[in-house]
Amino acid sequence: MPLKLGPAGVPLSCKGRTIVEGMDDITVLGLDAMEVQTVRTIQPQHFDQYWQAGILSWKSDFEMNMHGPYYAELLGSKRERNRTLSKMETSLQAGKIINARHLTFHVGPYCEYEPGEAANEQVANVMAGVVDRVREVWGVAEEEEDYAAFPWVHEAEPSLVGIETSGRQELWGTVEEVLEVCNHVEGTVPVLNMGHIHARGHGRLRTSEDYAELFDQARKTYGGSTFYCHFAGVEHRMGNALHYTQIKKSDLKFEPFAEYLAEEGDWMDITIISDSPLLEHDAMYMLQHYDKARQRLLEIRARDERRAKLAAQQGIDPEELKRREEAIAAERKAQMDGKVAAPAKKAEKPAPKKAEKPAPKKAPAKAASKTKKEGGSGMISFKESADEDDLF
Amino acid sequence: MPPVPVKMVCLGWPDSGEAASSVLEAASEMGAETDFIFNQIDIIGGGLDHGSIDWRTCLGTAHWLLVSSSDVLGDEEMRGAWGASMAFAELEGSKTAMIVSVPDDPDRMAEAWGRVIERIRQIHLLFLTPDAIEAVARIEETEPEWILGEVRDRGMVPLVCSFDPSEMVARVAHSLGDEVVEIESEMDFDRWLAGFLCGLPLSGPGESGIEGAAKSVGHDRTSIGHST
Repeated sequence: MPLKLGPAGVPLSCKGRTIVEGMDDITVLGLDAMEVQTVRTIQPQHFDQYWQAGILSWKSDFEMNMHGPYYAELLGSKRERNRTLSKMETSLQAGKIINARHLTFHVGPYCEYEPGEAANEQVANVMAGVVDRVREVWGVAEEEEDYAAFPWVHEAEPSLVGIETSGRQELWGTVEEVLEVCNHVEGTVPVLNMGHIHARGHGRLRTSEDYAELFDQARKTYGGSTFYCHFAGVEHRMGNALHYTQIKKSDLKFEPFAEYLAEEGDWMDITIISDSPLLEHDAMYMLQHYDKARQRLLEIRARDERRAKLAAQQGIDPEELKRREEAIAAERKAQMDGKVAAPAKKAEKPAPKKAEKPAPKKAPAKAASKTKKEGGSGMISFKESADEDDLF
Repeated sequence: MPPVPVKMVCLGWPDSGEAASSVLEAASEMGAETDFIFNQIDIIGGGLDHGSIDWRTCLGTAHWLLVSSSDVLGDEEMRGAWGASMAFAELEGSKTAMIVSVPDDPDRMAEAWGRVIERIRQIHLLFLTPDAIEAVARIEETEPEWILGEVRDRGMVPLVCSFDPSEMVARVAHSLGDEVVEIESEMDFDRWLAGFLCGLPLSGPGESGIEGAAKSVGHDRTSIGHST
């Protein structure tokens, strides 16, 4: 499954503040995507950075993405809509230069619309226009010579237009609305902001089954397999996101998502962007959990395969073999418990031996104290060893 | 002045004239436990090296980290310290209060505000000085009277506030609505904000807690309303 992970912006730990320096740091961390924030006015000096970042992403396997204005009013009055569209225009121009694979946009408040078909149609119309505009901007034949040094402009597919789910009840962007519009407008992709979905759903994403339900819904409605997700911890109340937090401090956990991706995400082409206050730290945290989940799954699969082979060799049912293995394991465990219990009774005797050979005892004592520091569970026995070593 | 059981740390140094420093000094006068991060390193001797700051010692147990928006316009080390302080505050559990004012070079306001927006998710309380309200409203293409609420909604900052010393009115936009509080005794914004920051950890949760903290400085105060 193609999974790309990265932070929303230049990493916090990056000493430099340019996008290219940020990309270098992200690569060093083992991540492979970044979302550039165009939340403020783009100034000419930014374009130099963007070209450099575009070239770097084209030459490497690094995925660049771009986030549009952080607030939009696409359902507002003509003036409000045009103001938002002019900001979006800047983002999509910058997206071309930076070789952005996804451009993420918010829709904003419902304004005069009621949630429902009319609002969705209006969003679909506007987004269809945005997709057309992206295609106009990318790959203009007459400009091919001008953009000779930037081959992606003509060779790569134009950016996909991402429509982001919202985290507040008064903003357009429930999962259903986003999927509905993405289903009708080619060239768009749902941006599943898990923090927003969790908040709007009053804490709905708790288990891997919840994620399975979400992506099943997406598969049925939208049909595509390309997803772009944002993930961060979130504080929420009454179905509204209040504040982003680091993942560890939130009731939105990444482990179930990682479990779902590892077990059932083979069909997806997914990019996950960490927009937590601890940008790259939480992106790394997610990567680690995903790797762990995959590792666990591989172990289970390897065990099942080995069991199937053995069962075939022995001419028995794999389930029967599983039962036998479990019985043997239980027996072995019982034996081990018995062995552990037996020396405990003898523990009173070895004192004289220890006096004869004090040196070999030291190494285990050191190892024990090290384990203790690492939070091992055998704290009582380690403490005793440490006391024995204490000359005073 | 009896001690206030609130600890604040400022990214700055004493008598620097920066907004955050003056708020910290006001909080200190109110009895809060306060500290300047740059007290601990030798700025004059070897120049500022943000890599040498022991953030855990500086921020541990602090309720608030005070940061000025104009600090980000300083040299590279200061910019590094500015960003690092907020990341470490997040890790250590201190809440960041960002004070946005118009920099000495007003042409750089958009740059400073852009840097603040980049870090908006790490900010728990955003204070805009009266002149900054005008400037930010221009950048965001909105009306000054709406800017607090809009920044709160857009950036999901828990508290966005301002204090106008000429009208003696404090405005606070928060996740549950807005508070407008009239203060009758004269004071400058740094004293009001210091009182608000001292009051917040002690005034309890919800709207009443925010209102109580906003009124916790000055005498004869009256709430002139709130909306949700």
